[in-house]
Amino acid sequence: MSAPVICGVDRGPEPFEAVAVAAALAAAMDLRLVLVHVVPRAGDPVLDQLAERLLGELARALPHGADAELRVEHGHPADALVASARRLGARLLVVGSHGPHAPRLGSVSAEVSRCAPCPVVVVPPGGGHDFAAAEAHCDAGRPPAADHDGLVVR
Amino acid sequence: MTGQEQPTGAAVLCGVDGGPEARLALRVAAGLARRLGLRLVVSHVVALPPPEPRQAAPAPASAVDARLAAADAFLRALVAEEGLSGARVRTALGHPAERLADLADEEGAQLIVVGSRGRGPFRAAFLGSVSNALVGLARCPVIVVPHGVATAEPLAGAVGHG
Repeated sequence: MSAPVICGVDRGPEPFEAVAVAAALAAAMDLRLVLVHVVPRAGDPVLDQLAERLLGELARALPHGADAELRVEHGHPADALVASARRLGARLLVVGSHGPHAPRLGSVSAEVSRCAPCPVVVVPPGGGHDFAAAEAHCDAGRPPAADHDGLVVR
Repeated sequence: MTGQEQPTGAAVLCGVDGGPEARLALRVAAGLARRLGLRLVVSHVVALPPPEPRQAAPAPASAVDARLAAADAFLRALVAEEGLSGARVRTALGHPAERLADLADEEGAQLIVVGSRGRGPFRAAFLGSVSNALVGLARCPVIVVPHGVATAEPLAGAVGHG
């Protein structure tokens, strides 16, 4: 399997934006997309079921033609996302910044960006739609997959 | 290119300082700009130190101008070395994260790319603080390129020149 763009998703209004940005970047770079939701502990069927429902909703909201692999991971959110990125050889890890004006803004995104093995895309509230929309519009004019890419190692 | 020219079209803004991860961030930004069909804007913010109570006068304007000129020369050399002659160069003065967020707005940036650790003016106790602060201020997605990613992934080898 090729190296993916991983999008870490959580509840709330933001995952849709993070997923939209991740989908646009994956499409632009010809990479597969993996949506990961981290639940705090393994062995809880209710949590796992909720996680799968969330991932299913997000997958259905993907732009037309986009596809994603869905994964439920267990543990500390930042640690589990970083571990997934390492295991799958992610080229990019996309996360939301968690809350519009929270004092502890982006604690997961801050931890992830310190430890990740790849560049981390942090999507602020309201900062994802413009990007995803602009990318959708420039699909037609996009250059073909080139050898020159800062992220894709060949 | 300088600030006098009117930019057209959306951009990827790359904030760089003097460290090795800045070069890596620039390569990631250049690759994304190319792939997404966006302009590349490379910027450096000359950090304004907080005023010291005992200091009688602020730094003279000539010293600030000299630092901005040095930053401009540094950016031009960097983009030339990386074969990114089409990139727009912007320097600014002030709080790095705030000014990068402002520049992103001015340039119509769709993405901001920064390294996760500072060198030079951002070093020591402020490791990672520019990227963290920027994430809270920016109105578009911010890509943080972690320190050391170059050794794990030969990103540089995949970057074209021209």
